[in-house]
Amino acid sequence: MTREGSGGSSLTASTTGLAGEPPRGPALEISGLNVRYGSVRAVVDASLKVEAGQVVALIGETGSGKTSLALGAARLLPRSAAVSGLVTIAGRDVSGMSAIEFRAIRAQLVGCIAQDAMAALNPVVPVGRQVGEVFAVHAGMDRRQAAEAAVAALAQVEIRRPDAVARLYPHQLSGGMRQRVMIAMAIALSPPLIVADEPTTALDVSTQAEILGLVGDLRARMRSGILWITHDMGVVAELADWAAVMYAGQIVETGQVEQIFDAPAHPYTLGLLQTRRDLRSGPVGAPLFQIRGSPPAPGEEPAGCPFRPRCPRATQVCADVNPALEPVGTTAGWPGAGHRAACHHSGTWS
Amino acid sequence: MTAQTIAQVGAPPVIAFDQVSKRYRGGRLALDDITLALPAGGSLGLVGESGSGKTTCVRLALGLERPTAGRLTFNGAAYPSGRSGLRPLRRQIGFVLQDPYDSLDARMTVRDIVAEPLRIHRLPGGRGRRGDELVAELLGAVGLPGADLRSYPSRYSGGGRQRIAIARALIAAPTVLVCDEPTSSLDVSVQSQIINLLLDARRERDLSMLFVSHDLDLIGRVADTVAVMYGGRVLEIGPADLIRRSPRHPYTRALHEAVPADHPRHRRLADRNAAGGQYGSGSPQAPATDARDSCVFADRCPRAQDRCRVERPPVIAEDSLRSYACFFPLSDGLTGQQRG
Repeated sequence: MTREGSGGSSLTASTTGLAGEPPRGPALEISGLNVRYGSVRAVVDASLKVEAGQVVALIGETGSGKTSLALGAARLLPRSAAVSGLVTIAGRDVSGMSAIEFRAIRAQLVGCIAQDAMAALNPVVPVGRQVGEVFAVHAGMDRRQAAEAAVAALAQVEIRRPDAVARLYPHQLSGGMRQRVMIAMAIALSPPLIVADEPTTALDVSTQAEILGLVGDLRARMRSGILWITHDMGVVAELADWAAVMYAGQIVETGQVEQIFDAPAHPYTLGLLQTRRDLRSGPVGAPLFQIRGSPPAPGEEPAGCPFRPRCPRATQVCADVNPALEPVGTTAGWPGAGHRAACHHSGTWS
Repeated sequence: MTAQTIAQVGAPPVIAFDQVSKRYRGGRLALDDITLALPAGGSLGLVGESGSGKTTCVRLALGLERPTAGRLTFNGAAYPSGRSGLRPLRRQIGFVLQDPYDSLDARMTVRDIVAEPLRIHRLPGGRGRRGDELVAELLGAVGLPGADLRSYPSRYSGGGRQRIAIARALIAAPTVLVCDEPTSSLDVSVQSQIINLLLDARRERDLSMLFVSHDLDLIGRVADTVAVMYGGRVLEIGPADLIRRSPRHPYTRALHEAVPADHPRHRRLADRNAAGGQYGSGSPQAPATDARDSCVFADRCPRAQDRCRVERPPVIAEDSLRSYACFFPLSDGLTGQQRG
C-alpha cells in the first residue's frame, strides 16, 4: 500500500529543521476533525491517515468539504473557521500547538500546491527568488546558496534550462511551468506532508499528463505523504494509493484505490465512476449517465443520510439514520482491509 | 479544398468557414486557413487545448470578430458588417459560454437576464407580463421550474447559473446553438445534467449545434462531427466515433493518451515506465511565428520527419467521411492502448 522511497530523499534540501529527529509517524493523521463556518458545518467528524510516501486522493465536488478538510488539517484556514479535532503531522500533534508555535515549523512540516499558481506566486518577483526564499527563510541559507538551491529545485521538477527560468516572472511562464514552480517550492524542504489542491484542474490535458508524470516520479523518490484534492476520478486512478470520498462534509467512503474502483461501496462513489465510464465509452448523441439532483446547500442538514435524496437505493432507514463510516468487510475478492463506507446498503453494492 | 467538400456533404451548412484566417493586432495568427462547416440540423465539435484557435472560431461564428482572410458564411451568405446588419443573424444564434459566474450580469434579475435577447431583438415579451410567462416557461424547460424571476444569479450554484444561461440562449427561438466549454467550470455530477439538457434542447428544437471543448471524451459524446484543432489549424476532422476509436493524426492520438486512465491498474501517465511521455515535451501553444511551411505539431510529434518541418501538410480526404493534415498518418492498428 505504501510506496517506500528509495533511501530517503535525493532532493536538494537535506537541511530541514527536522533532520535527525526520531522516526516519525504517518505523514498525516486526522481524527474527528470538524470545521465550521458560523453555523455551517463544512467538515463533520472526519478521520484520515496519509502514510509516508503515499498519495491519498481526497475526492469531492464543490462544497463537499474537501478543501476545508485539507486546509483545516494544515491549519491554513482563516480565523473565521472553527476547527476542532486531532491532527498530527509526522507524529507531531499540531492541533495542540499555538498559532505562533505552528507557524514556526509549518514550512518544515507541510508543503502546499495550490490550484491557481498565478494567484499563489508573487507576480513582481522572479520565480527563482521565490523558490530561493524558501531555502533562505527556512533552511538558513545565504543569498547565493539559496539561489543555487532554487535552480537545483527547478531542475528537480524537470524545468529545462532552470537557470534561465529562475530569472523569469510568473506571467512569462506557461500554466504548466508555473505549476512546476509551485511544486518545486512545496517539496523544497522535503516536508513530510504535501497538500495539493486540484493542481491540475486548470491545465490543458497534455500539460496535466506531464504534471501527473512528474508527481509520479517525485513520489517514487520522496518520502513525503501527499494529500491530493481532486474531483477527477481519472486523476485518482493515475496517482492515488488510497482514496477518501467526501459528500456534504463527511467522508462517505475510504479505501485502497483498487477497492474503490473495483467495488465502490457507496452509491455516490459508484455514481462518480459510472459518470466517467459512460462519458468515455457511451454512444454519440446518447444522454450521459447522470447523478440526479444536487448536493445539499451549505448549512442545509437533512435528517438521515445526506445522499438520500439523490440515491436510487434509499429506503426508510436512510431517511431516519445517518449511516456511520463502517468497514466493508465482506466484499467478494477483497479482504476489505481498511475499506469503509457510510451506507446502510453498502453490502448490496458489489 | 477537400475538407470543405467532405464537411458539406448532405444538408447545406448553416455556418461555413472557407479557408478562413484570423490575425489579431500584434501579429498573432489565431486561425490559419480553416475550412469547417456546421450542417443544418447537425452538430460540429471543435476540440483542442489552449491556443488552438477554437475560441476564435466561436467569436467569428457569433459575429464578434471578422476574418482576416477567407470567407465566413451563415446560411450561404457572408456575415454582414456592423451591429445593425448583424442583428437578424445574431437572433438566430443562441450561445452558452464557459463561465456562468462571468457571463451572467450579477446586477440583473433572472427575469431580465433570460429575457435579454427579446429586448435586444425587440421581440414581444422583452418587458411586461407576457415576457414573465415566457421566461417562466423557459426556466421550467431548463429544470428550474418555479424559480423566482426577481432573484439574482448569486442565489444559484454554477449548474443553476448555466441553466439560466441556457434559458437565455433559447428564448428568442434560435436555429443554432453555440456552446463554448459550457461545463468546464462545473462539477462532474452537474456536467452530465447540463449536457443532457443541451442534447434535449437540440433535439426538441431541431437546433444545429457548434460545441467547443478541450475534453475529447465529452466532445465525442455530443458532436456528430469532430474537428481537432492545434496551433490555429484543423489537424483532423471526421465522425466522432472514428476520431475516438481510430485517430489518424498523431496529435489526436496524443490527446487521447493524455486522458487519465479509467482504473488504477491501467495507469500510464503517473508511471512513465508504462507508456506515454513521448508527446510530453513542448508547448501546446500556437507557435509565435507563423509556421506556414511546416506542420504545427512537428516539434512535438514522435512521427515527424524532415518533410514535416519544411512543408505544410495539406488537408487530405481519406474517404467521404474524414480528412486530416498529416504526411505520416496512423493506421487503424495504431489507435493507442487505453480503451477496451
